[in-house]
Amino acid sequence: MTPDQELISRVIACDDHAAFSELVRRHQSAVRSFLRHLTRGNHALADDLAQEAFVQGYRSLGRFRGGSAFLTWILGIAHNQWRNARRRPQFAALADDSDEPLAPDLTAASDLRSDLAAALRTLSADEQLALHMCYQQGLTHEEAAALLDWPLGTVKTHVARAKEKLRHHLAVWNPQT
Amino acid sequence: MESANLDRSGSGDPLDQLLREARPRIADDGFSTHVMAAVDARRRLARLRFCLMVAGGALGFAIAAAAGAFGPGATHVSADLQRNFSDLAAVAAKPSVIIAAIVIAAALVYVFRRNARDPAAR
Repeated sequence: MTPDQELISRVIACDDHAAFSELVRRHQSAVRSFLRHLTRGNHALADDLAQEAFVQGYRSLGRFRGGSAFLTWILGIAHNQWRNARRRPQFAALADDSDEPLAPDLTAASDLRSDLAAALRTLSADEQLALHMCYQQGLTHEEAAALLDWPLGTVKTHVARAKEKLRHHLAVWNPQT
Repeated sequence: MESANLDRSGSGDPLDQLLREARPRIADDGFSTHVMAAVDARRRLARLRFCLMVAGGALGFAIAAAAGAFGPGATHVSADLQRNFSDLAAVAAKPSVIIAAIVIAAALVYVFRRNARDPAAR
């Protein structure tokens, strides 16, 4: 598989559409699932924002310094798109209510998974977002903190607290506790 | 039923593993095609904007030429411009103007540095 960096170089050097299309195909799932998470499962809005994020990414690709992974960079753009959208009056309902849990997009493929999905729903929105960034998106705590504009300690606290809550909810799966 | 348990004493944290495995995979379903169509549309719009800008500049130049801006009266225009620039330089040399300029420049640097920290312009 061609590395992201090579595809990016091809887009910058020769405006290679096929290379950018490959980047979109490769990362669309992560960006869309991130935005679905932020929009509380509003798939249409999430996809519109994801499309805008990729278009913005295409226009700004010349400024991509390669200091982070392409995915982290494009997620940052997606997060900005989300923040801008939230300021529009028609999206006022999507204002940041940290107490209101998000609906996790998790397929119940087994009993444990469905229990996990149910347990995730009991977490606060910020705790779910922190877990989503660090586990489902595979970002480090530092990357998640930079992307979400949160202090590093906040990310670590949310992750730790969320995991403790999940352990408590899923205690039945651990016969030794 | 799965046999997995969430005991942390083993190698690796099973909860970490479970959370990583819960990563949803969204099928493309034409999404990337839509994105590329939007990219093409924006590119065409940018090209059109550039063409309009060039055409507008050329039209302005032609109108100015037709109005005689580059004829014998052009010397007066040039002299006026020179005088205006000297006046401007005299104003810019005042300490209060210099301080104001520094404050504005510092504010702009602050704003641009904040934006630069974001992966893309807001």
